[in-house]
Amino acid sequence: MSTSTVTALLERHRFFAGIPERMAVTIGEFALERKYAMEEMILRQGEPADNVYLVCSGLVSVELYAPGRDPVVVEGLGAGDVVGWSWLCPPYRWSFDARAVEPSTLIDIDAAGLRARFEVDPALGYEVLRRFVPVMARRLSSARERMAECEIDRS
Amino acid sequence: MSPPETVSAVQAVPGAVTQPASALDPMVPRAFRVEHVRREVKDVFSWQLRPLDGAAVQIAPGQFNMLYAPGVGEVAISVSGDCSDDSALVHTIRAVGTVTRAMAQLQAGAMVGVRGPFGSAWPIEAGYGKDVVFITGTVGLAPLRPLIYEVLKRREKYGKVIITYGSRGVDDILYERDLHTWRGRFDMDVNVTVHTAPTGYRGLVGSVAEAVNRSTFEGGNAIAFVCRSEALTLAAVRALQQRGMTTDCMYTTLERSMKCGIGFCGHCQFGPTFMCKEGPVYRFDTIERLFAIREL
Amino acid sequence: MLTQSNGVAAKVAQRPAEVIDRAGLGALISLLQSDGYRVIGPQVGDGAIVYETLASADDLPAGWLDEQSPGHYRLVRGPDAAVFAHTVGPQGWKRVLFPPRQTLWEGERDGSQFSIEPAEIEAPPTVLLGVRACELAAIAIQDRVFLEGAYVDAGYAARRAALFIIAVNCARSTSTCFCVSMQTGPKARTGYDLALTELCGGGRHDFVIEAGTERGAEVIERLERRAAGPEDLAAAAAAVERAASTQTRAMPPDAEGILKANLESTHWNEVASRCLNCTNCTLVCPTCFCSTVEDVTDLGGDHFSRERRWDSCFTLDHSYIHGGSVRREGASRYRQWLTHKLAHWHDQFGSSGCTGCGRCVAWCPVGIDITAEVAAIAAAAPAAPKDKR
Repeated sequence: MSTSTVTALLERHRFFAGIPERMAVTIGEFALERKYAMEEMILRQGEPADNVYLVCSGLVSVELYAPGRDPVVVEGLGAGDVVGWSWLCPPYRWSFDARAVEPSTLIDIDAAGLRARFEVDPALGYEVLRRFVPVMARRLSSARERMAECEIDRS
Repeated sequence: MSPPETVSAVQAVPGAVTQPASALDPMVPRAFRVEHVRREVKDVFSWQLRPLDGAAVQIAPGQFNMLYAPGVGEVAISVSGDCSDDSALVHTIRAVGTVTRAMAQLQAGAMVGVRGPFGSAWPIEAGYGKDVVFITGTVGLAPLRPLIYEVLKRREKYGKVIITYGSRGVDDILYERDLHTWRGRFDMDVNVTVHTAPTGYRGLVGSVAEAVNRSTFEGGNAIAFVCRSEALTLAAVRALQQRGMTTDCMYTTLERSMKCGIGFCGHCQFGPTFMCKEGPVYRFDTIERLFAIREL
Repeated sequence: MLTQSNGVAAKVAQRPAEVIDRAGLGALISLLQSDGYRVIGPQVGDGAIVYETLASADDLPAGWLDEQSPGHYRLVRGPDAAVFAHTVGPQGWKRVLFPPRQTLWEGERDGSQFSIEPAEIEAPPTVLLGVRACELAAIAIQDRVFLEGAYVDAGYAARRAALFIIAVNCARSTSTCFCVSMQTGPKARTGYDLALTELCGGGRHDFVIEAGTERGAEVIERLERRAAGPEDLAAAAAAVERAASTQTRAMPPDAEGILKANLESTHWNEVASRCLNCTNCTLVCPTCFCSTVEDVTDLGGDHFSRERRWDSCFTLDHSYIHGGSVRREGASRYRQWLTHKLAHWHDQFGSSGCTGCGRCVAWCPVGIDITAEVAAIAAAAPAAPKDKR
């Protein structure tokens, strides 16, 4: 796939909606489109977080590996969602597994390369972070809401 | 004024002197038979109740009855069945207290008491011409189910119909049969989201608010019915506001202690309102200010 | 009922006031007793004025005065033999109309069947003697709760309809009285069959008697009496005026607005630090109507009944829903009592729930004064934001 095709995909993705073209092109240089089969592992807890993924279609589950039992799904991600933010903070290792539970199409971005680019292009770094922070806030708030509901429900 | 006249003058006033209270005394339970018990999910069961006197039962979606376990006590429970059936009542009960745990022990055939109906109803017609969004979690689906039935009976009067239901896990999804039936319809969206799930789960995993973010409806022309724990209502309200809805288009229910159901006992007060009279269904903008005050 | 009394009161208003003497008061009591009424009136009991069934006028608290201030109540000897010189005792007439405990219904189980019968309502013809203006107002307020809403409380209705009310205009106020500021007294204006104003001292002991209803007028017809002269009327007016002008407490005007605007005042914590949550104020209040129910069974479980008893918003149990109480803090419970009484009551029943009787002030063990608390909340309120220009 050519860089320009993946750049177009990036620009159409909800996460990058309205991003300056220059930046889309730069990110496109680090990105490629990948298809995952059902049940295929995308990333694994403890491994280096050197990629970040955008879901274009399908369904991805974020799971916690649990010894002696089946993994627990803690988040379901679909079209328009981002998979992973461990690549943004040291030690750059995944804290969960991610698996395609349906045949899925993702944009796979070389996060290690992008991180290095941020150092020389802070405007790009700011633009990406400013889109990531609300995603992190929403996930945190979703987790808290569920924690609270579990606790309230229990009583 | 001679003595006998004095007494008769008093007697002439209706309700005076020694006499049994009216047979329709709202404080006296009416006898119903538990016709059917359905175990829904852990600690939650539904009763189908039929009145022993055979007279019609009347109740509207959103209203509640005071259910009585003989010799144990009474609890306020919303109607959760089809309200157009005037021969029987359906109530879904979670066994969390002394009375409801005693109720959980009762088998089909047992007799129980019912007082009601009490309280305000969901405004069915307020949503005509609008997208309808139901937001609920765990057993909160029970008070909404009669309204969902009504909306589906007159489906053509509404825009999109969306149910957003949150459950702790995949094993405690209430009314799974109904949800399955509704999901099979082409004229409504059913978004069931769970807090966590076993691997391979194909449904939504996330919070109710997150599921609201993901659903497609016209925020500017929608009505929302929210029924979940009071602590989590605001999360739903905020998610709806982010979709462009205003609080005068949101309805919710609240829960307080209830002893009588008719405004006499004083227990269910919420600010100037009695939850058994002005509630349990409120338009959210009418209580928005009170809702923000803790321990009111 | 009150509405009926109101209508009749207008018709009999022209009947001129008359005067009976001390013996006439005794005759009035005997006459009503012989008509089949039990007569409940003030007497001395447990060191206070209590309302109990009177055998005769001799049971009345002749020569007793009450001394009341925040957290304080004492009976003291008065200068004369007046029988109504006291003001209000701890127990209002609420106990007659809305008993502290009552059985609502009784049930019996037979196998899986059961039957429930409403409890018999006892409502003997009853005279309330010595009802003060603030207490008439309290009865009118409870009428709105139990008779004039969507539902009627059958027991209350029966007992209310069986009443013959003899009001007494106050000739004296204590330091806890503030009926003038609540516009309920000290003169009885409506809601009575007969009204008395006691004129005692200077060698006389008489009562100006006025009818509020036709049946009240019929009772007067049967008494030995004389027409009231201008000096009687002037003395009666002066007595009531003295009660009004000596009141030292007043509820701030617009208590409703003050409280509604300050539901989150820091002062709630301050008053909660003094409040003992003892529930006294709600129990002596003549309008508080909260109740709870108790299901009672025999050992075999085949006979059961539901009892209703007074409850108080100061208990944790009052706001208990599964999991816990909504009003966990004393400040929240105090706020519930005061805002309900003085503010939200207006929304619910079209008037304040306070009559200015002052019982909650006198019987508070730590002397919390609701008029002072409302003033303090107003004073603690943040100033309205200034215009940004």
